[in-house]
Amino acid sequence: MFPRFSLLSLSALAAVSPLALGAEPASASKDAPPASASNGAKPAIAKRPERPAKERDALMQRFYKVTEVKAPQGVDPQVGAMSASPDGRLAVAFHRGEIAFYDPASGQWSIFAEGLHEPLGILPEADGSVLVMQRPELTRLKDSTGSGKADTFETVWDGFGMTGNYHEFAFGPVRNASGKVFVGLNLASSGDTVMQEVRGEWLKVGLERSAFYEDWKKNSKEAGRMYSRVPWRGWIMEVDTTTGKAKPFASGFRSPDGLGLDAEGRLLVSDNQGDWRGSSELHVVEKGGFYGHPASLPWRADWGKQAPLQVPIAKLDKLRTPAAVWFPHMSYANSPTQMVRIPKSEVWGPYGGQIVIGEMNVPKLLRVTLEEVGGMWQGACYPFVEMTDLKPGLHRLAFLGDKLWLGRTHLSWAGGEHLGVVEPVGAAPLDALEINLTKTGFKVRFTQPLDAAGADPSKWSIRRYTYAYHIEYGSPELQEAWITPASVKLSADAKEAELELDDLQENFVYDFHLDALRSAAGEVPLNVRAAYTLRRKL
Amino acid sequence: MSFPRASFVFVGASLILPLGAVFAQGSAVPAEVKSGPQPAGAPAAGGEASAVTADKPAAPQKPAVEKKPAPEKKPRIVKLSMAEGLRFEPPRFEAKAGELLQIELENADASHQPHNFLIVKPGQVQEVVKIAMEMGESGPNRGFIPEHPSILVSSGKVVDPDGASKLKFTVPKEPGVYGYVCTVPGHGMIMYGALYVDSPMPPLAKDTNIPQLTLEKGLAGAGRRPFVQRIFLPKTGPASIGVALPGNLNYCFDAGACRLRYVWSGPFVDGTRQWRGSGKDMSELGDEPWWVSQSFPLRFGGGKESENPDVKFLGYTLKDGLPEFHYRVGKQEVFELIRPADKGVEMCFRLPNARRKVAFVSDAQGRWKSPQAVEKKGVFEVPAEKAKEFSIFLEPKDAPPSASNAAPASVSQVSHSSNH
Repeated sequence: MFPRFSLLSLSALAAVSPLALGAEPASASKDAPPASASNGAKPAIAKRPERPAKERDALMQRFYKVTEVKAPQGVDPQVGAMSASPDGRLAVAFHRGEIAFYDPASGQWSIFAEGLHEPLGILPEADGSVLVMQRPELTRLKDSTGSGKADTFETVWDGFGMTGNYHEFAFGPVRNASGKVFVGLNLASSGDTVMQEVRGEWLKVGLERSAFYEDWKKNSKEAGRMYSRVPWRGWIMEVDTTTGKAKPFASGFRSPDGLGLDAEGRLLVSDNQGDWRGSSELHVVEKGGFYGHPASLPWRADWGKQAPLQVPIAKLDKLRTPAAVWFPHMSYANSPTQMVRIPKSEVWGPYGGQIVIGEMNVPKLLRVTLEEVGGMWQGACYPFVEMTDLKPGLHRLAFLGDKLWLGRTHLSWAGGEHLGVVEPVGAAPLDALEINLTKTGFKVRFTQPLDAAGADPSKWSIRRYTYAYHIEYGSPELQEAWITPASVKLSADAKEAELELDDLQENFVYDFHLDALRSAAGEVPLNVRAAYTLRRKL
Repeated sequence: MSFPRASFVFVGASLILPLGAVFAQGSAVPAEVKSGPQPAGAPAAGGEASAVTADKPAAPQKPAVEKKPAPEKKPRIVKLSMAEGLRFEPPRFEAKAGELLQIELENADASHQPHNFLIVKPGQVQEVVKIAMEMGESGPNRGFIPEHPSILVSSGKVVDPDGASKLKFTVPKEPGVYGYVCTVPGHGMIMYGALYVDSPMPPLAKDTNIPQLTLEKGLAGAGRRPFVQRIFLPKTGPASIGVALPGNLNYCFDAGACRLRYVWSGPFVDGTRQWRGSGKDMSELGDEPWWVSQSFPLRFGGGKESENPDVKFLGYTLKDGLPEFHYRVGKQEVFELIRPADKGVEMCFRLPNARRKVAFVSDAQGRWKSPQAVEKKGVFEVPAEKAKEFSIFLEPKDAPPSASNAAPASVSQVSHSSNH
């Protein structure tokens, strides 16, 4: 989320494409390995027609229903944070700092607290207290008198810097089995400078503080499009909420709006397309990892005196762990948001246990699946529910029972307001459920059996491409080519297709176009795309 | 997909003129800066627009009405700004049926996003937004302006950040509340306005034809007192807290520096500008502060310690709605509650583990007193036995001397400024 220049990035693309298409940055990068795009590459990449939105909506409405819930009266209806409370209510934080509970049984809102500073994370606890990540701190809110309103606002952790730059948002917390919570700290944006007073130590490498108060138009270039001048900007931090002590956990983030956990408790973090982010990404985050955006690096204990933008790209590329999943820009997501796990229930059927993630710019939810291959996390994203009724701005997601709540925001960028609830109606549609890598290609599991034509390779179209790892804002799709599988075999139950591909390259997206497939019952796929990010071959 | 998108950035280019040029021209519109080409199916700007007015399905169009179009009628100029926070400014305006307008659009959105502009038939804003959202990949090349009979006129293309565009529009003859909207994806739910054509305009606060956010003034707490609001505040650290006290006073407490920063009278914090964007614009105080802190005021070691001690903010508890701040200065734990007192404020300090005398360094900006302390050259010394709980009163210098406290132990109108 929070893309800044989301549409302007297009001009950035136009400006960089000659360079990005050239061999120099590409050859230095994991994201853009040396071209060997002879397999199936055609001189011009034809587009496949999209399913018209009206038709798509009509189809989606057969499987999903969206209802609207208004924010409480008198509250700016932008949802900064949302989470299911152990007492069965929905805990929601709004733009101007209200914390409210929604009781689905009565349909009533009750305001728990007011006046917090841009809260973007909320974690209600079993003891009735509520952890809130607001701009300046992680705070524990308590109602000590049982009045239904918070009266105690304990600062759990505020040991990070703030320059007052608007882009220094703070996200999280999510709690894993260790009991510790994770929070994410945004970089500042060169769209603005810093306040006269800042909190925290000024970074000793790179641009001096005085430069931030002089000709900013000029100096901002040296600062970098997104910069980290005070501690832990661009980091994921691990906070012990009992002692209030925090440890740096992982670096290299730009705008880690979505923090979530997979079924095994691994930390997942989404980040937005931008500088050093060819497309939006999902990372499986491990302790000590560096996830690509260099601005945060000098806060590492082992860092020398080099300004991050002076580090050769090849060195950065070696240091980093690339994204487990790319969300191809525009076609899958512009600005992905929060991840939550789909409940294992009858209602959600085959999707139970998978990750669902929101999107800001278009009314769409996506699913994500992950697998570890040779010590590297990778996986796929799938359009999941995409219908006009969802409305854009799907910033926060939370399951209350089987109902998926959606909280919208925009903060003056593309987005929406108020809340929505989505739930499945009827049986599961035909969908690509999960794509896994095989030694020779991919295995694609479906929700329903395919008809016999599913074994016909010509029914499958895959476009593969990669993105550049570079300082510029976003990346064009590079080295793209259409691929038709060499062979397709259907499993005995016809729910699984095993594809053999002649072209299988690391650090490419394999973007499956599934529109020609049909279920054994003659149904069209509800979603016609799925994109696997191949990092490592088996 | 990147390349069609790249070209989209430039589609508005033909509409862009330097702002000065556009606005200097007044009503004389060169032909080339009229609205861009209309999407097929949508009526063009100007006279034709009025031919498609009512949404009565069977209403026969009356070309006869149009038989005498004034050839060079001077249009009335309406300036509309596309502003930060997905807003049109103004959010509504009035026009007479059949009137010729020249709408001058200016994309002043500080968050640098392209916007477009469409005028649509009454009640059709969200329908057109929906249709625009369904344009898919054809959207960018067409400025996200769909084809729909409800669209009366449009900017034809997007207006790029800092760009401008003009279009002529003949107001429909049917009275009603028409809508205007930006249909760039993700904008239309919020970014729309109302054109009142010979229709009564309700009071702004009750106008359901314009977005709710536009209606709301951003006074934190909507005038309720007491009220606590954390927000970026001027002239303080980034982690500051605004507090509206009962009565007329407000103060700013800096949670980074753990001290009162300033006090002002009158309206509390207006967050309108900050909240309608992404936080870039500063909030505004209801008035200039009448007292501004110069340094950390408490001394625990006989006045020899640093003016900028090592502090740690621990949070606050609301007591009858007033926050009692909790922080540590070195090893000294401090609770501080600020409440209104006669002409000024009373800082109520609690130091539960205090064992030594405490000093409070005042300044020349206000009138100070403390029932527990002895004042000497502007420094209020609280003896160890009273240090567990003491108060410092601060009033504006120009206020008439307070008579409320029967036994002020020491009153000082400090005239030195040695501690700065």
